[in-house]
Amino acid sequence: MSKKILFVDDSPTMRRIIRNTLNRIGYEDLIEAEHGMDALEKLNGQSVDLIITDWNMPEMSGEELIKVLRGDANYKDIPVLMITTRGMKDDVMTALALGVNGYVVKPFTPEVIKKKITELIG
Amino acid sequence: MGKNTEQIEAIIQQIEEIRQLFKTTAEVLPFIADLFQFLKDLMPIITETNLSIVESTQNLPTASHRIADVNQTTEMATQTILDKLDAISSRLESVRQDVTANRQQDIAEIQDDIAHIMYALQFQDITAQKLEHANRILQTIYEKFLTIFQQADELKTTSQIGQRFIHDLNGSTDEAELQRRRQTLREKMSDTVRQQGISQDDIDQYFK
Repeated sequence: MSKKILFVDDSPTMRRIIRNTLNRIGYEDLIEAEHGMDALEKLNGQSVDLIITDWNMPEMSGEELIKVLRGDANYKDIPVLMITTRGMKDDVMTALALGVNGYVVKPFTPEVIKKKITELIG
Repeated sequence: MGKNTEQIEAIIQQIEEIRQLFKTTAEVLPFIADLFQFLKDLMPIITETNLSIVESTQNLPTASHRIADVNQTTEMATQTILDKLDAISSRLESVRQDVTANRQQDIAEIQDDIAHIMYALQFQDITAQKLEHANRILQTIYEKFLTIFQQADELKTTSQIGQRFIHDLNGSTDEAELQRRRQTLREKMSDTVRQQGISQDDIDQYFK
C-alpha cells in the first residue's frame, strides 16, 4: 500500500504502538509528530492520505490541530481519525462538529484501527 | 411651667431608655460570655485544622512531583518492554526461515502474542493522562489555598479582631504541643516509597 499517513500523539509509547499497528496492517509510508504544532511543521504543505491524531497534547491539542486543518485549503479534505482517551458522548459530538471523520477510544485493537482506516481511505 | 414639665418628662424618658439599655445589656452579657467561652473551647480545634491545612498544602507540590515521577517511570519501563518485544519479534523473523513448515504456525502465534502484549501497553498512556488530570486538580487546590492564606494574612494585618484572633489561634496551644503535632503530621504524610534523593553509589559509599 502506498498510502501516506501522518499520526500525532505526545506519548512515545502510543506512537510506537500506532506505528507498529500500521506496519502490521500494511502501511509503511508514515510520518509521526508529537503534537499539533509539530504535525503542521511536518506537513509543511505536503499532502497525506490520512491523519491520525490524539486529543490531549501539549503545545497544540488535537482539537486545535483539526480546526487549523479544516480552515486550510491544502488540508481541509484530508480524512482525520481521532484516537483518544476521551470517551464521553460530548467529546464525540465535539469531534464530529470539528469535522473528524472517525473516532476511536483508547485502548484500541488492531482490528478496529484496520476497519476505520479501510473505511476512510480504502 | 408647662415647658418645665415637658423637659422633666423628656429627661425621665431618657433615663428610662438608659435603664432599659442596661437591662438589655445585663441580659445579653451572659450570652456573650457564653459565646466567648464557646469560641475559646473551639480554638484548639481550629488550631488543629489550621495546622493540618497548612502542612497538607505544603506537601501538595511534592505529591504533584511524585505523580510526574510515576508517569516518567512507567513511560521508561514501557519503552524498555517495547524494545524487548521488538527484539524478540526480529529474532523470530530471522529464525522463521530455518524452521520446518509445521512450526511456522507456532511462530505466527508467538508474533500475535507479542502484538497483544504491545497493545496492552496502551495502559501506560491512559493511566498517565488520568494522573495528569489528578495532578492539575492538585495544582488548582494548591493555588486556591495559597490565595486563602494570603487573604488570612491581610485579615490579621488590617483588622484588630483579626490580629487578636490570629494571636489567640497561635497562642491557644503551647509551642511544644504544636511541634509534636507538626511532627506527627509530617510522619503521616512522609513518602516512604523509595526516593531518588541519594544514588546507589552514594549509598554504597556508606557501606565501604
